[in-house]
Amino acid sequence: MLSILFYLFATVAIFSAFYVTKARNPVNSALCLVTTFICFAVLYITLDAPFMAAIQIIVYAGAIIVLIIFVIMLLNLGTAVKKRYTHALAWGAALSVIMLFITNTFIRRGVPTGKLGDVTTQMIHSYGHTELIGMALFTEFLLPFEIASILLLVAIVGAIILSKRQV
Amino acid sequence: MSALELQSLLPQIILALGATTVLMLGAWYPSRKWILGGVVIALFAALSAGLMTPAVPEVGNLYSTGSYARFFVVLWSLLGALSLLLSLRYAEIHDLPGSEYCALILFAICGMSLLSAATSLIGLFLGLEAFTLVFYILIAFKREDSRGAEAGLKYLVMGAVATGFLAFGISLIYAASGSFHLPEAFAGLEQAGGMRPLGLAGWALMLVAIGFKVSLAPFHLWTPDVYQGAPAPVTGLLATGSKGAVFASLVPLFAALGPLKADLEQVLWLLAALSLLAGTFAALPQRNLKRMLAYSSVVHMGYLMIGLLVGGSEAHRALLFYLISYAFATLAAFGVLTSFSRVDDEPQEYADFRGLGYLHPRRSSLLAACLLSLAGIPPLVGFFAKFGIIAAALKGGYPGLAVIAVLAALTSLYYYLAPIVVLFMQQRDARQLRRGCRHEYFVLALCFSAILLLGVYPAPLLDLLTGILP
Amino acid sequence: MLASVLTEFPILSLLLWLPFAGTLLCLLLRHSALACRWLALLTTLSVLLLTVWLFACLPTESGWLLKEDYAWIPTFGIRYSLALDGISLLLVCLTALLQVAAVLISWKQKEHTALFYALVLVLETGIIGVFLATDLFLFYLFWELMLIPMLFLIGVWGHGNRVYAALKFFFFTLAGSLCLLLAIISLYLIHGEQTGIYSFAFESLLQTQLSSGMEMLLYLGFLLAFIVKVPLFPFHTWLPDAHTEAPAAGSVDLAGLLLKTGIYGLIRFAFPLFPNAAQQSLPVLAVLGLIGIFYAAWIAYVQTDIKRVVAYSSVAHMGFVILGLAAWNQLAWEGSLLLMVNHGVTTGGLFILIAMLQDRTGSRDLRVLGGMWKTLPFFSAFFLLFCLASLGLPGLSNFAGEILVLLGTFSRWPLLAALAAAGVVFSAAYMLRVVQGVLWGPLGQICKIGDKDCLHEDLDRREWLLMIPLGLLVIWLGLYPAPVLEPMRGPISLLLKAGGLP
Repeated sequence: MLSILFYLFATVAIFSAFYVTKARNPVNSALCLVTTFICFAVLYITLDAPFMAAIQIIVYAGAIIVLIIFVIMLLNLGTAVKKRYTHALAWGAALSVIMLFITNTFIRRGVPTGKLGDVTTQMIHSYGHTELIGMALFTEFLLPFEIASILLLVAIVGAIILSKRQV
Repeated sequence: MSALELQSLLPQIILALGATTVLMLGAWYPSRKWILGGVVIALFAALSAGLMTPAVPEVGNLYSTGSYARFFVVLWSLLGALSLLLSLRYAEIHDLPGSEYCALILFAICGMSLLSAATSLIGLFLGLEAFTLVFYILIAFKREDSRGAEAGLKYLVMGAVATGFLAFGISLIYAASGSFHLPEAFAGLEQAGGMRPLGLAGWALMLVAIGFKVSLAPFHLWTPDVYQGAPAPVTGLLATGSKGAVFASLVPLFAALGPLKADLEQVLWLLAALSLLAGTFAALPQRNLKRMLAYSSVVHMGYLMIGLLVGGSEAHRALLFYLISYAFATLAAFGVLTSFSRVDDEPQEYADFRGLGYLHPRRSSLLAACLLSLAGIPPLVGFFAKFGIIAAALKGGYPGLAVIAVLAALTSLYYYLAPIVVLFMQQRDARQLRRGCRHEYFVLALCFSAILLLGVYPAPLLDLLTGILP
Repeated sequence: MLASVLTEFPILSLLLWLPFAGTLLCLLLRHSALACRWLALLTTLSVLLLTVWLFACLPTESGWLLKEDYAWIPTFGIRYSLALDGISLLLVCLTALLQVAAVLISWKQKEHTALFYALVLVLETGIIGVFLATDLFLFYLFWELMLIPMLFLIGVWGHGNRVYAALKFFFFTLAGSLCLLLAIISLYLIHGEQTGIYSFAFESLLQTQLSSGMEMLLYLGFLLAFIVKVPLFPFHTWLPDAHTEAPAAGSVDLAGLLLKTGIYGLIRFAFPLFPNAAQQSLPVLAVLGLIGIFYAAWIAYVQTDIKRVVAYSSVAHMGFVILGLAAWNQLAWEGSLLLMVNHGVTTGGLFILIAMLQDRTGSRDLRVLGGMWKTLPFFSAFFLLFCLASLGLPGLSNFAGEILVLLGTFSRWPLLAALAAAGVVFSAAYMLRVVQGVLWGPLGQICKIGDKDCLHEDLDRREWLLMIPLGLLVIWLGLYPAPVLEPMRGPISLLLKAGGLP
């Protein structure tokens, strides 16, 4: 059951990701991106990561897509922005599919599963996913968390500088 | 995080907090003098890293505070301070916002010093992102310049793809070994004397990302456009600090990999040889100094890859020595370009330099010295650096690479001599360029003395490097 | 008294770094052309005095006469070690003499004077360094150090097609030197693995045990670097261009000194380090030398530019030198080294005279020159003297060297020696053609631009000062070469025994 769900949503995710690049209307592109994000969110839920799913929906499918659509509207891009996709693109796609299969068989030759960590499904059910993530973020990964905040600060400064007309 | 850990991370904290302070104060008191403040902060960080003994050897299983890490904090802080000094006049001429510029550079230095100190894949990722993000902005800092915007966009797209590869690679390695921390993360990859396929896939993705960041062939195509479009002092820092910090982090990474490196050897060999060849052939026809330096940097990265491939403390020492010699020569070359630049243009075509050697003898000779050092002509430091790498390659049993390296060095003379010929052996037909100012002369003199003194007497630096290598 | 001075005072370092100090001073005084000129003259003269003093004082022993040795880069086993024996002493003397001549001949240099003299002085440091260094790394450093100033001298102050000539010179020699570098590093590593002591010192590297294949490979690396510089026949194509386009001082240094560094490298390093491979290569070297003699003579005969004729004559003379070395006996080697010194003096003198001629007439073309004997008698007398010396007239300098080479070669390869003797006739042919074209015949109507009366001034005081010592030297070396041969005899016999000096 779960694997059927996985393959279903994974397929949808890949196809909509492909349509993000192929769609000729940018709004369609953006909507396909939303679909991809939602599929990811579903995959997170099947992996017992509800918090990640929620973040995925709120931040990516929500905030970021809204911004993208705003930009598209503001710039008033027509439908003709995307060029027709060329044979080069098709060749590239074919090549990447082949690479995918090669990689897949290659990885399957060894032990594909990884090492299990401390966090088990039962722990998630008893503590709650959000609590576990919070604990990890603010104890073990406090320093990376702070550095990530610096990254955000830099991004904000950059956005302001690059968009400001007059200093 | 304990107080001891905070104290051990003091240099980076000084940089980050200093940057934030400059940013905030700059909002109320906008002035280009903040750049000088940034220089002071960077020097302060360098001092604290150089003089202070850290309380703990490793902070939060993420960043080492050992002598290796602190050496690079000092180095990147100094390089950052030098490029800030170089930018002082440049920012004035091009009307760049001073405090933001300064803060961003400080953030970049912080990121570089975090990256070179990383002992965990998470730390590596964050450090790398910290300064890459800064460079996305700095490259496009001159908003009126369409080439700058194009360069910024190119770097952004390429950089984002590389980041994706890096994150995916790290997650595969994490999945295979269950740890981010360095020796454990790679120890978990071992299986029957080789590397597990999952680990190999992770490494392949990581190598792609690293190749993008340091512009190894065949991932180097962004380099010339970005070099050309970015403001000259930023290009100087990008070419030296950003690439150097990645290599500085790769040395402990490969040391931690241990015997598993054997599985990556062929790929590394190919990367090194391709970079040497592709960079050389692409640099030959260039008539633009920045583009030529871009392609030649690909060649230099190839030399550094040889050091990485050979491995062992001697090869790593040669690599670090090469890195330092490359950094000073490149920074000085871009420093000369910075000091020549005017409001409307930044001279970079060879035609702009025609006969300049007799109009601006000091800076032109310095540029020539930098180029000759990069080409590896004694008694400048580049020669000794190349010598070390070639000796390491021969000793490590890679005579093929050594021969390619020597051929690349010979061919490199052609493209390094071309600007020198233009500078000194052609008649002047253009007007005078901008006069330099004191800060610029100071930085250039410092770089020149480094190039010359390290070339004539490299023993102290070699001893230092032997001491800090893990 | 003298002995204590020589052992305690680092006189070799003084010799080496004196010109370099002159360079730095020149750059400091760059705003005054006059000061630079006198500074350069003073520096080169003091180096000359120093070397002449050494030449007069030092005993003629076979081992090292003076040594200096300090640790430099201990991590790689690199030492700053200099040493002087009879051969290097002679070559250093030649260097010092020709550098004084180079400074004097470019006395009227107007463009970028300070840089010019600074480069000439750096070049002197590089050349003296090559002749003194016994640590292979140090040797390589000086070997490369010679290139950059020469590149600039040709490229900035040269004639016509100067940039092309400069780059051609640079790439030919650099390609050779990079082979040398690879070979040096390989030798260093092999030696290090065998003994556990990583060192570039010549004495230690001599002990290296090599398989015959590896020995040949490394020897070829050394050989390539040196014979490009010499230059031996198929690698000589850079030389005519570089000589022709170079300014007078550059030509003097190139012909008089840079070519000698190649020969010096061969006998000091390549032969002793790889004795078996060297023995195998001797026939090839001899044949190439012989081809060089004839080929260069043939080409020289059809040149119309005098400088090119003299340049090709250098190739021919170097063919003689190599032939003598390939004969591998005391007599031939003495002849070769003597010829080297003589060639430095005569060819240097010829280039100086050509520069004077060009100064007066603005041309070096045999087709338009002529009749100088009438207008410039003193100049023409010197020109004749040097041309005759160059073609090997008995009693003048080159003859002594050539006859020794021929005698030495005859005992090993009679046929080759006989053929080479015919080569002397060829050199007479092209040199006499030059003499005829420049000195005799109808007066060439060639004047410098702006020189309305077409009056050519004969030698002035500076030029007399320059030519008299050189002329005397040419005659002296031809009539009584013993003082020059004496200090070389011991070192040569040691080198021939294989294994080089102690």
